[in-house]
Amino acid sequence: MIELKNLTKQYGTTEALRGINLSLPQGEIIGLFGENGAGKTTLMKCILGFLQYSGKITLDGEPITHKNIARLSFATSEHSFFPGLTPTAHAEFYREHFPRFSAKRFHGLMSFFELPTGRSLRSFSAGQKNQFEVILALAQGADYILMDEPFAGNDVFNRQDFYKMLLGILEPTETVLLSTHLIEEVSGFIGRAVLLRKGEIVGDVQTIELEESGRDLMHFVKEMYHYRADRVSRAIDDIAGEEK
Amino acid sequence: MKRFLEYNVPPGYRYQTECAAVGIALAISVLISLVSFLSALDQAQRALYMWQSEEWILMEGRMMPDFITMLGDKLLGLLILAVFIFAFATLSHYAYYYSGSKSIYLMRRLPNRFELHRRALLVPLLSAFVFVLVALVLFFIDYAVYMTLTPEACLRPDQWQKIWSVFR
Repeated sequence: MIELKNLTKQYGTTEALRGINLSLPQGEIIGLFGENGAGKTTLMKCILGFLQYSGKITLDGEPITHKNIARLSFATSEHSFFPGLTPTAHAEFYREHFPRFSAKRFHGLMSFFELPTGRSLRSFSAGQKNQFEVILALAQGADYILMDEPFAGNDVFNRQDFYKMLLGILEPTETVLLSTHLIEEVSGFIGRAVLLRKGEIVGDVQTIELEESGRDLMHFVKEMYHYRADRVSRAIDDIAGEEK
Repeated sequence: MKRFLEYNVPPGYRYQTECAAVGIALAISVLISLVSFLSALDQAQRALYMWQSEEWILMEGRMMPDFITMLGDKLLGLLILAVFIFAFATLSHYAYYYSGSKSIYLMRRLPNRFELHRRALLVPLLSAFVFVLVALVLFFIDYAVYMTLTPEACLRPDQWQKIWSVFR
Protein backbone atom coordinates (compact mmCIF):
# COMPACT_ATOMS: atom_id res chain seq x y z
CA MET A 1 0.00 0.00 0.00
CA ILE A 2 1.18 3.52 -0.80
CA GLU A 3 0.52 5.88 2.07
CA LEU A 4 0.77 9.64 2.00
CA LYS A 5 0.86 11.31 5.38
CA ASN A 6 0.56 15.04 5.77
CA LEU A 7 2.12 15.58 2.34
CA THR A 8 2.84 19.23 1.67
CA LYS A 9 4.58 20.69 -1.33
CA GLN A 10 5.47 24.34 -1.80
CA TYR A 11 6.67 26.11 -4.92
CA GLY A 12 8.19 29.25 -3.46
CA THR A 13 5.38 30.80 -1.46
CA THR A 14 2.64 28.86 -3.28
CA GLU A 15 1.35 25.73 -1.60
CA ALA A 16 0.70 23.16 -4.33
CA LEU A 17 -0.26 20.41 -1.87
CA ARG A 18 -1.52 20.96 1.66
CA GLY A 19 -1.40 18.20 4.24
CA ILE A 20 -2.53 15.38 1.96
CA ASN A 21 -3.40 12.11 3.68
CA LEU A 22 -4.15 9.29 1.27
CA SER A 23 -3.89 5.52 1.10
CA LEU A 24 -3.62 3.64 -2.16
CA PRO A 25 -4.14 -0.06 -1.49
CA GLN A 26 -3.16 -2.70 -4.03
CA GLY A 27 -5.73 -3.78 -6.57
CA GLU A 28 -7.70 -0.54 -6.94
CA ILE A 29 -8.30 1.63 -9.97
CA ILE A 30 -8.39 5.16 -8.65
CA GLY A 31 -9.35 8.26 -10.57
CA LEU A 32 -7.60 11.45 -9.50
CA PHE A 33 -9.60 14.50 -10.47
CA GLY A 34 -9.29 18.23 -10.08
CA GLU A 35 -9.12 21.40 -12.08
CA ASN A 36 -5.90 22.55 -13.72
CA GLY A 37 -3.41 23.47 -11.02
CA ALA A 38 -5.21 21.44 -8.34
CA GLY A 39 -2.03 19.47 -7.62
CA LYS A 40 -2.64 16.15 -9.43
CA THR A 41 0.66 16.09 -11.29
CA THR A 42 2.55 17.42 -8.28
CA LEU A 43 1.07 14.63 -6.16
CA MET A 44 2.28 11.97 -8.59
CA LYS A 45 5.71 13.54 -8.91
CA CYS A 46 6.05 13.58 -5.12
CA ILE A 47 5.15 9.88 -4.94
CA LEU A 48 7.77 9.12 -7.59
CA GLY A 49 10.38 11.17 -5.75
CA PHE A 50 10.83 13.74 -8.53
CA LEU A 51 10.04 16.60 -6.17
CA GLN A 52 11.11 17.51 -2.66
CA TYR A 53 8.25 17.65 -0.19
CA SER A 54 7.46 17.62 3.47
CA GLY A 55 5.44 14.85 5.05
CA LYS A 56 5.79 11.13 4.52
CA ILE A 57 5.25 8.81 1.57
CA THR A 58 5.70 5.09 2.08
CA LEU A 59 5.28 1.92 0.07
CA ASP A 60 4.35 -0.98 2.31
CA GLY A 61 5.78 0.97 5.22
CA GLU A 62 9.11 1.71 3.54
CA PRO A 63 10.16 5.01 2.01
CA ILE A 64 10.21 4.95 -1.77
CA THR A 65 13.82 4.65 -2.87
CA HIS A 66 15.76 2.98 -5.68
CA LYS A 67 15.26 -0.31 -3.87
CA ASN A 68 11.50 -0.37 -4.41
CA ILE A 69 10.94 2.22 -7.16
CA ALA A 70 10.55 -0.54 -9.76
CA ARG A 71 7.20 -1.32 -8.14
CA LEU A 72 5.94 2.01 -9.50
CA SER A 73 5.52 2.92 -13.14
CA PHE A 74 4.55 6.23 -14.67
CA ALA A 75 2.82 7.26 -17.87
CA THR A 76 2.67 10.97 -18.50
CA SER A 77 1.29 13.18 -21.24
CA GLU A 78 4.74 14.80 -21.29
CA HIS A 79 6.05 11.33 -22.32
CA SER A 80 8.97 9.66 -20.62
CA PHE A 81 10.26 7.47 -23.45
CA PHE A 82 13.35 8.16 -25.56
CA PRO A 83 12.26 9.80 -28.83
CA GLY A 84 15.29 8.51 -30.73
CA LEU A 85 14.71 4.84 -29.84
CA THR A 86 12.42 2.28 -31.43
CA PRO A 87 9.82 0.38 -29.37
CA THR A 88 11.96 -2.75 -29.67
CA ALA A 89 14.94 -0.90 -28.20
CA HIS A 90 12.69 0.37 -25.40
CA ALA A 91 11.64 -3.19 -24.63
CA GLU A 92 15.30 -4.18 -24.36
CA PHE A 93 16.04 -1.21 -22.10
CA TYR A 94 13.09 -2.03 -19.83
CA ARG A 95 14.03 -5.71 -19.74
CA GLU A 96 17.51 -4.72 -18.63
CA HIS A 97 16.34 -2.39 -15.88
CA PHE A 98 13.02 -3.78 -14.68
CA PRO A 99 13.27 -7.46 -13.79
CA ARG A 100 9.48 -7.92 -13.91
CA PHE A 101 9.09 -6.39 -17.37
CA SER A 102 6.44 -8.35 -19.25
CA ALA A 103 7.46 -8.84 -22.88
CA LYS A 104 4.21 -10.73 -23.44
CA ARG A 105 2.09 -7.78 -22.32
CA PHE A 106 4.30 -5.36 -24.23
CA HIS A 107 4.04 -7.20 -27.54
CA GLY A 108 0.36 -7.99 -26.98
CA LEU A 109 -0.50 -4.33 -26.51
CA MET A 110 1.79 -3.23 -29.34
CA SER A 111 0.00 -5.49 -31.77
CA PHE A 112 -3.44 -4.60 -30.39
CA PHE A 113 -2.80 -0.91 -31.05
CA GLU A 114 -1.01 -1.76 -34.30
CA LEU A 115 2.07 0.25 -33.38
CA PRO A 116 5.21 -0.27 -35.47
CA THR A 117 8.08 -1.76 -33.49
CA GLY A 118 10.98 -0.79 -35.71
CA ARG A 119 10.46 2.94 -36.16
CA SER A 120 11.82 5.55 -33.79
CA LEU A 121 9.25 7.14 -31.48
CA ARG A 122 10.02 10.50 -33.06
CA SER A 123 8.07 9.45 -36.14
CA PHE A 124 4.94 8.40 -34.20
CA SER A 125 1.75 10.49 -34.17
CA ALA A 126 0.71 12.20 -30.91
CA GLY A 127 -1.91 9.50 -30.28
CA GLN A 128 0.56 6.69 -30.96
CA LYS A 129 3.06 8.28 -28.60
CA ASN A 130 0.43 8.34 -25.84
CA GLN A 131 -0.43 4.72 -26.49
CA PHE A 132 3.20 3.71 -26.35
CA GLU A 133 3.75 5.66 -23.13
CA VAL A 134 0.91 3.75 -21.48
CA ILE A 135 2.07 0.42 -22.91
CA LEU A 136 5.48 0.90 -21.30
CA ALA A 137 3.89 1.74 -17.95
CA LEU A 138 1.68 -1.34 -18.13
CA ALA A 139 4.44 -3.69 -19.25
CA GLN A 140 7.03 -2.60 -16.68
CA GLY A 141 5.76 -5.12 -14.16
CA ALA A 142 4.89 -2.49 -11.56
CA ASP A 143 2.35 -2.94 -8.78
CA TYR A 144 1.38 0.74 -8.90
CA ILE A 145 0.79 2.34 -12.28
CA LEU A 146 0.58 6.12 -12.13
CA MET A 147 -0.94 7.78 -15.16
CA ASP A 148 -1.03 11.52 -15.60
CA GLU A 149 -3.42 12.60 -18.37
CA PRO A 150 -2.22 9.70 -20.50
CA PHE A 151 -4.85 10.00 -23.21
CA ALA A 152 -4.62 13.72 -23.97
CA GLY A 153 -4.77 13.83 -27.76
CA ASN A 154 -6.31 10.40 -28.34
CA ASP A 155 -9.71 9.99 -29.94
CA VAL A 156 -12.66 8.69 -27.94
CA PHE A 157 -12.73 5.24 -29.60
CA ASN A 158 -9.11 4.80 -28.88
CA ARG A 159 -9.59 5.75 -25.25
CA GLN A 160 -12.55 3.39 -24.87
CA ASP A 161 -10.46 0.56 -26.32
CA PHE A 162 -7.79 1.32 -23.81
CA TYR A 163 -10.13 1.28 -20.80
CA LYS A 164 -11.53 -2.08 -21.87
CA MET A 165 -8.10 -3.49 -22.52
CA LEU A 166 -6.87 -2.21 -19.18
CA LEU A 167 -9.74 -3.81 -17.29
CA GLY A 168 -9.06 -7.06 -19.09
CA ILE A 169 -5.33 -7.31 -18.50
CA LEU A 170 -4.83 -5.87 -15.01
CA GLU A 171 -3.89 -8.39 -12.34
CA PRO A 172 -5.76 -8.19 -9.02
CA THR A 173 -2.62 -6.89 -7.34
CA GLU A 174 -2.09 -4.02 -9.79
CA THR A 175 -3.17 -0.54 -8.79
CA VAL A 176 -3.84 2.27 -11.22
CA LEU A 177 -3.86 5.91 -10.18
CA LEU A 178 -5.29 7.76 -13.15
CA SER A 179 -5.27 11.53 -13.29
CA THR A 180 -7.65 12.84 -15.91
CA HIS A 181 -10.24 15.46 -16.75
CA LEU A 182 -12.37 12.90 -18.58
CA ILE A 183 -14.60 12.27 -15.57
CA GLU A 184 -17.64 10.85 -17.30
CA GLU A 185 -15.57 8.70 -19.58
CA VAL A 186 -13.71 6.89 -16.80
CA SER A 187 -16.61 6.72 -14.34
CA GLY A 188 -17.48 3.15 -15.31
CA PHE A 189 -13.91 2.05 -15.22
CA ILE A 190 -12.62 3.33 -11.87
CA GLY A 191 -13.49 1.95 -8.45
CA ARG A 192 -12.62 5.01 -6.44
CA ALA A 193 -12.49 8.73 -7.06
CA VAL A 194 -10.19 11.18 -5.30
CA LEU A 195 -10.83 14.88 -5.80
CA LEU A 196 -8.20 17.53 -5.39
CA ARG A 197 -8.91 21.20 -5.11
CA LYS A 198 -6.26 23.85 -4.54
CA GLY A 199 -3.86 21.27 -3.18
CA GLU A 200 -6.29 19.63 -0.79
CA ILE A 201 -8.34 16.47 -0.97
CA VAL A 202 -11.97 17.55 -1.05
CA GLY A 203 -13.48 14.19 -1.88
CA ASP A 204 -12.58 10.52 -1.68
CA VAL A 205 -15.30 8.04 -2.53
CA GLN A 206 -15.82 4.51 -3.79
CA THR A 207 -17.86 4.58 -7.00
CA ILE A 208 -20.07 1.82 -5.65
CA GLU A 209 -21.09 4.13 -2.81
CA LEU A 210 -22.12 6.72 -5.38
CA GLU A 211 -24.14 4.17 -7.29
CA GLU A 212 -25.87 3.03 -4.12
CA SER A 213 -26.80 6.58 -3.24
CA GLY A 214 -28.10 7.16 -6.76
CA ARG A 215 -25.54 9.80 -7.69
CA ASP A 216 -23.11 9.75 -10.57
CA LEU A 217 -19.47 10.75 -10.54
CA MET A 218 -19.94 14.02 -12.40
CA HIS A 219 -22.65 15.03 -9.93
CA PHE A 220 -20.36 14.18 -7.03
CA VAL A 221 -17.48 16.20 -8.50
CA LYS A 222 -19.71 19.22 -9.06
CA GLU A 223 -21.01 18.91 -5.52
CA MET A 224 -17.54 18.76 -4.03
CA TYR A 225 -16.41 21.67 -6.14
CA HIS A 226 -19.51 23.71 -5.16
CA TYR A 227 -20.10 24.11 -8.85
CA ARG A 228 -22.75 26.73 -9.63
CA ALA A 229 -24.74 25.63 -12.64
CA ASP A 230 -26.03 29.15 -13.26
CA ARG A 231 -22.47 30.57 -13.41
CA VAL A 232 -22.27 30.52 -17.20
CA SER A 233 -25.71 32.00 -17.85
CA ARG A 234 -25.04 34.77 -15.33
CA ALA A 235 -21.73 35.60 -16.96
CA ILE A 236 -23.38 35.68 -20.40
CA ASP A 237 -26.11 37.94 -19.07
CA ASP A 238 -23.50 40.25 -17.54
CA ILE A 239 -21.39 40.42 -20.68
CA ALA A 240 -24.36 40.78 -23.02
CA GLY A 241 -25.94 43.34 -20.68
CA GLU A 242 -22.77 45.44 -20.67
CA GLU A 243 -22.69 45.47 -24.44
CA LYS A 244 -26.31 46.59 -24.66
CA MET B 1 33.11 0.63 -30.02
CA LYS B 2 29.57 1.20 -31.32
CA ARG B 3 28.14 -1.04 -28.62
CA PHE B 4 30.26 0.65 -25.96
CA LEU B 5 29.05 4.10 -27.00
CA GLU B 6 25.41 3.05 -27.27
CA TYR B 7 25.61 1.59 -23.78
CA ASN B 8 27.27 4.65 -22.27
CA VAL B 9 25.40 7.60 -23.75
CA PRO B 10 21.73 8.44 -23.18
CA PRO B 11 19.52 5.85 -24.96
CA GLY B 12 18.81 6.97 -28.52
CA TYR B 13 21.35 9.79 -28.34
CA ARG B 14 22.99 10.59 -31.69
CA TYR B 15 26.55 10.13 -30.53
CA GLN B 16 27.96 10.10 -34.08
CA THR B 17 27.78 13.90 -34.32
CA GLU B 18 29.46 14.30 -30.96
CA CYS B 19 32.22 11.81 -31.89
CA ALA B 20 32.85 13.61 -35.19
CA ALA B 21 33.06 16.99 -33.41
CA VAL B 22 35.47 15.62 -30.80
CA GLY B 23 37.59 13.95 -33.51
CA ILE B 24 37.81 17.11 -35.61
CA ALA B 25 38.60 19.28 -32.56
CA LEU B 26 41.30 16.82 -31.54
CA ALA B 27 42.88 16.65 -35.00
CA ILE B 28 42.91 20.45 -35.42
CA SER B 29 44.32 21.10 -31.96
CA VAL B 30 47.06 18.46 -32.42
CA LEU B 31 47.99 19.99 -35.78
CA ILE B 32 48.10 23.53 -34.38
CA SER B 33 50.14 22.42 -31.38
CA LEU B 34 52.67 20.47 -33.49
CA VAL B 35 53.07 23.12 -36.17
CA SER B 36 53.53 25.92 -33.66
CA PHE B 37 56.13 23.93 -31.70
CA LEU B 38 58.06 22.90 -34.83
CA SER B 39 58.05 26.45 -36.15
CA ALA B 40 59.34 27.79 -32.81
CA LEU B 41 62.01 25.08 -32.82
CA ASP B 42 63.02 25.95 -36.37
CA GLN B 43 63.33 29.63 -35.50
CA ALA B 44 65.45 28.89 -32.42
CA GLN B 45 67.67 26.57 -34.41
CA ARG B 46 68.24 29.13 -37.15
CA ALA B 47 69.47 31.52 -34.46
CA LEU B 48 72.24 29.04 -33.61
CA TYR B 49 73.85 29.21 -37.03
CA MET B 50 75.35 31.82 -39.24
CA TRP B 51 75.83 31.82 -42.98
CA GLN B 52 79.50 32.02 -43.80
CA SER B 53 81.44 31.02 -46.89
CA GLU B 54 78.34 29.56 -48.44
CA GLU B 55 77.54 27.26 -45.56
CA TRP B 56 75.80 27.29 -42.21
CA ILE B 57 78.21 27.38 -39.28
CA LEU B 58 77.27 26.77 -35.68
CA MET B 59 78.06 29.88 -33.68
CA GLU B 60 80.20 29.28 -30.67
CA GLY B 61 78.59 29.84 -27.28
CA ARG B 62 75.04 30.02 -28.66
CA MET B 63 72.58 27.92 -26.66
CA MET B 64 69.10 26.67 -27.43
CA PRO B 65 66.32 27.90 -25.14
CA ASP B 66 65.18 25.25 -22.64
CA PHE B 67 62.62 22.76 -23.89
CA ILE B 68 60.02 23.92 -21.41
CA THR B 69 60.47 27.53 -22.53
CA MET B 70 60.14 26.49 -26.15
CA LEU B 71 57.03 24.46 -25.43
CA GLY B 72 55.41 27.39 -23.64
CA ASP B 73 51.61 27.16 -23.85
CA LYS B 74 51.52 25.06 -27.00
CA LEU B 75 49.67 22.21 -25.25
CA LEU B 76 47.37 24.49 -23.31
CA GLY B 77 44.80 24.51 -26.13
CA LEU B 78 44.35 20.75 -25.79
CA LEU B 79 43.84 21.01 -22.05
CA ILE B 80 41.35 23.85 -22.41
CA LEU B 81 39.49 21.83 -25.05
CA ALA B 82 39.43 18.83 -22.68
CA VAL B 83 37.60 20.92 -20.07
CA PHE B 84 35.31 22.50 -22.66
CA ILE B 85 34.39 19.18 -24.28
CA PHE B 86 33.70 17.58 -20.92
CA ALA B 87 31.41 20.46 -19.90
CA PHE B 88 29.63 20.73 -23.26
CA ALA B 89 29.10 16.99 -23.78
CA THR B 90 27.88 16.52 -20.20
CA LEU B 91 25.39 19.36 -20.57
CA SER B 92 24.27 18.03 -23.92
CA HIS B 93 23.71 14.54 -22.46
CA TYR B 94 21.64 15.81 -19.55
CA ALA B 95 19.72 18.18 -21.84
CA TYR B 96 18.81 15.21 -24.08
CA TYR B 97 16.58 13.86 -21.32
CA TYR B 98 14.47 17.00 -21.59
CA SER B 99 14.28 17.30 -25.37
CA GLY B 100 11.44 15.78 -27.37
CA SER B 101 10.09 14.12 -24.22
CA LYS B 102 10.79 14.02 -20.50
CA SER B 103 12.80 10.81 -20.47
CA ILE B 104 14.40 12.21 -17.33
CA TYR B 105 11.32 10.83 -15.54
CA LEU B 106 12.22 7.34 -16.67
CA MET B 107 15.91 7.72 -15.91
CA ARG B 108 15.19 9.06 -12.43
CA ARG B 109 13.02 6.11 -11.51
CA LEU B 110 15.39 3.38 -12.61
CA PRO B 111 16.34 0.93 -9.87
CA ASN B 112 19.99 1.51 -10.81
CA ARG B 113 20.51 4.98 -9.40
CA PHE B 114 23.82 5.48 -11.23
CA GLU B 115 22.46 4.79 -14.71
CA LEU B 116 21.41 8.39 -15.38
CA HIS B 117 24.77 9.86 -14.39
CA ARG B 118 26.86 7.08 -15.95
CA ARG B 119 25.23 7.67 -19.31
CA ALA B 120 25.67 11.44 -18.96
CA LEU B 121 29.21 11.59 -17.59
CA LEU B 122 31.28 8.60 -18.69
CA VAL B 123 31.80 9.44 -22.38
CA PRO B 124 32.54 13.16 -21.74
CA LEU B 125 35.04 12.08 -19.07
CA LEU B 126 36.70 9.63 -21.46
CA SER B 127 36.77 12.28 -24.21
CA ALA B 128 38.49 14.72 -21.85
CA PHE B 129 40.89 11.96 -20.81
CA VAL B 130 41.78 11.30 -24.47
CA PHE B 131 42.62 15.00 -24.88
CA VAL B 132 44.86 14.93 -21.81
CA LEU B 133 46.48 11.69 -23.01
CA VAL B 134 47.12 13.13 -26.46
CA ALA B 135 48.62 16.25 -24.83
CA LEU B 136 50.95 13.96 -22.87
CA VAL B 137 51.96 12.01 -26.00
CA LEU B 138 52.57 15.29 -27.86
CA PHE B 139 54.71 16.47 -24.96
CA PHE B 140 57.01 13.44 -25.36
CA ILE B 141 57.04 13.74 -29.16
CA ASP B 142 58.01 17.42 -28.88
CA TYR B 143 60.69 16.53 -26.35
CA ALA B 144 62.11 13.78 -28.58
CA VAL B 145 62.19 16.12 -31.59
CA TYR B 146 63.84 18.84 -29.49
CA MET B 147 66.53 16.47 -28.20
CA THR B 148 67.18 14.96 -31.64
CA LEU B 149 67.43 18.19 -33.57
CA THR B 150 69.33 20.29 -31.04
CA PRO B 151 73.13 20.07 -31.39
CA GLU B 152 74.61 18.69 -28.19
CA ALA B 153 76.90 21.68 -27.77
CA CYS B 154 73.87 24.02 -27.67
CA LEU B 155 71.85 21.95 -25.24
CA ARG B 156 71.47 23.41 -21.77
CA PRO B 157 71.85 20.85 -18.94
CA ASP B 158 69.13 19.58 -16.55
CA GLN B 159 66.20 19.73 -18.99
CA TRP B 160 64.08 17.31 -16.93
CA GLN B 161 64.72 19.19 -13.72
CA LYS B 162 63.54 22.36 -15.38
CA ILE B 163 60.43 20.59 -16.63
CA TRP B 164 59.66 19.27 -13.16
CA SER B 165 60.23 22.67 -11.62
CA VAL B 166 57.24 23.94 -13.62
CA PHE B 167 54.94 21.36 -12.02
CA ARG B 168 56.27 21.89 -8.51
